Amino acid sequence: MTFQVLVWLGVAIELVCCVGLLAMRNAADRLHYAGAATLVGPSLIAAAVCVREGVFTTNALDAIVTAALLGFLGGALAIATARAIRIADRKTLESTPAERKRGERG
Amino acid sequence: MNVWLVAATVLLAGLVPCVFVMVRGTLTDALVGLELASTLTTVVLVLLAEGFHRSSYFELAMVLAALQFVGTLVFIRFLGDDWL
Repeated sequence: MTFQVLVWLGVAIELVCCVGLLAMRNAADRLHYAGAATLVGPSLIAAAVCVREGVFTTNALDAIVTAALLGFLGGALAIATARAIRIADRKTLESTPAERKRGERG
Repeated sequence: MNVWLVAATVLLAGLVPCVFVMVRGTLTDALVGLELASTLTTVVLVLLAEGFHRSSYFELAMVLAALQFVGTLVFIRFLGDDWL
């Protein structure tokens, strides 16, 4: 069944993100996993609901809206959290001379 | 038990690493852990709503998805000045 594959794929990705959160050493690295969990897993779950119920049903549209909210707001939240982490670590949002040099080379 | 309810139950296990990071990590680590825990809870609510075939349960997940954004932003705003 297609929807079962999508459900378990979504669940597996969410669990991988949880393991990644635990495995990483600092908050900035952990944020990558938290960000991925807001977009990939919910989208797959919403797709599973759409496959099961049909796209233009109340359940499917609600699942799509929830996944979209998580995706868009989660991205904005990741940016805000990254800024807070940066300020907590370096006390400023300005890049250091070494970072600027790396940016010029890249 | 259908596949949705089993998946919701399995996904609840993902809250354990989040709580561990929130309890043992720094404040910024806890913030990230809270973010992931909120996302997981929202997905669990979606799975439960589909598993119980109650369309009204989806509203709860939708409201939580919006409120987790506001809640975490409030944490960032108020913790940012003094404690981070």
